[in-house]
Amino acid sequence: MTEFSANSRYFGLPMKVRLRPDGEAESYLPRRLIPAPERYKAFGLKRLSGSERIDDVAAEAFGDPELFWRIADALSLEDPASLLGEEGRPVPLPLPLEVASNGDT
Amino acid sequence: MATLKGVTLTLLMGPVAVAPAPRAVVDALESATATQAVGQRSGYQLTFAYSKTSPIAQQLLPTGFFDPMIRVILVATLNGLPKVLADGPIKRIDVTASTHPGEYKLVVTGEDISGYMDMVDLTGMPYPAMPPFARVALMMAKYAAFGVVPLTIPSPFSFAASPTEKYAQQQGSDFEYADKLAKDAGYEFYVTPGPAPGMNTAYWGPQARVGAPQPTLTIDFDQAAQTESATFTVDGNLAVLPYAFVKVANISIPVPVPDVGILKPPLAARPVVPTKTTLLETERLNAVEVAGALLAGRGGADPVTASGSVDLVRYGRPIDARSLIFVRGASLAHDGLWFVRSVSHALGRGSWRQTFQLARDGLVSQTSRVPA
Repeated sequence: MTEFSANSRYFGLPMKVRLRPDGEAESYLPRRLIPAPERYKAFGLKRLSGSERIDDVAAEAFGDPELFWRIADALSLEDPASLLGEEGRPVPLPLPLEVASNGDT
Repeated sequence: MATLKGVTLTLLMGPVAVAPAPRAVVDALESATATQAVGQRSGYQLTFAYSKTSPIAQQLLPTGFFDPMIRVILVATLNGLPKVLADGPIKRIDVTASTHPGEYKLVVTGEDISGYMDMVDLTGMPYPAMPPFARVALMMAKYAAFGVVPLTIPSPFSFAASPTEKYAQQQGSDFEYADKLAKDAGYEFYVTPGPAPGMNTAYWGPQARVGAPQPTLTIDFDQAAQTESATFTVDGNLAVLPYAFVKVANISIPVPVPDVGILKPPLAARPVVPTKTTLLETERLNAVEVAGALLAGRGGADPVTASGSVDLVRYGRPIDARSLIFVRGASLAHDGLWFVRSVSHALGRGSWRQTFQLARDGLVSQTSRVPA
């Protein structure tokens, strides 16, 4: 187990080790698979004013700016910073996947 | 804008497969408590207030929505991070009828998932050539439908007897037998819910007082303090020195047993001097079993305890039972590293308070600095 805090998107991922050709061990994080965006359920909508950043939105929605990756995951944004500056765009605020069940999973 | 700031509660209910509770149930939920403690089963209690004409009274209670053995999962989300607080069967339903409209009270009490392990008495089930940890893992396999993953740790002195000589047979239900095997090995058996809702870990192994400590409990540090109150107790009656008779050349010699649990390093610099002795029954055991009993640190109780409460919205995350935690601001004798013996969550609308019980073997911190 890695030492990422519980609000990290990498929390719970195993740290992997590979051997370089010269025999030195190199540790790395495995690829994180982003959940399918349709699994996310929105609990609210936020209209961007054009000046805020994605972590501002996360701080307002979750009380924790470091959870910005939830919003990025739900929107399938590859670059979280690209949320910045689009005025009037409605952004769905996703429930954490753990509690987003409809009873069908 | 809707927000997940602070505390939100998710309630999932159903027979084995759970689904989010209906709106009428969630709206009626007044408060919830959940307890996890060393040496006893975890449990939860939900309190609902409803009226005689509500769906709870007219449909859900009569049709068995709250019947015993219905599974309940309680998930609390603090600042966007979900935590499973309870998962297990309903065991008891109390209804208080009232003369005032809308003040009927329904109190649902339940246990953790081990409540399902008590249903069938399987006395006599043979386990040939299986050491205790394998028996527990096999028993837990029945509960895979409840998301139970067994985590069993072989005791250092266990061996499998040849089935042609003797083999073990189950005594009592799965829970009783796993608990008995744990006590014999100086181990603990318990089920913890999580990390994801619907998952459970059945742990059968030694009490582990190692690992990364949780964020520090701070008392009396102006605005940095999150602990509302704490009481510290030294109980001399709990400082017990176990001794055992060991046979040397057919003569029994009493030998005091040091508290040498492998995963129980001393937490305090000055242990409390024992005030009592207790005799370990080792006369009839063979050498392997005696060594196991001694290494398990069976006599060691914790004479120093602390209890208090903390506001989780200020502390930032729930405290887990059965792990280590730092305390600061409680003066020289009581600062330092502690073992969390039990936690109890009390949730209301928008509030989440936790009471905790800590324990250790003595006074004065081992470390000169405690992380903030």
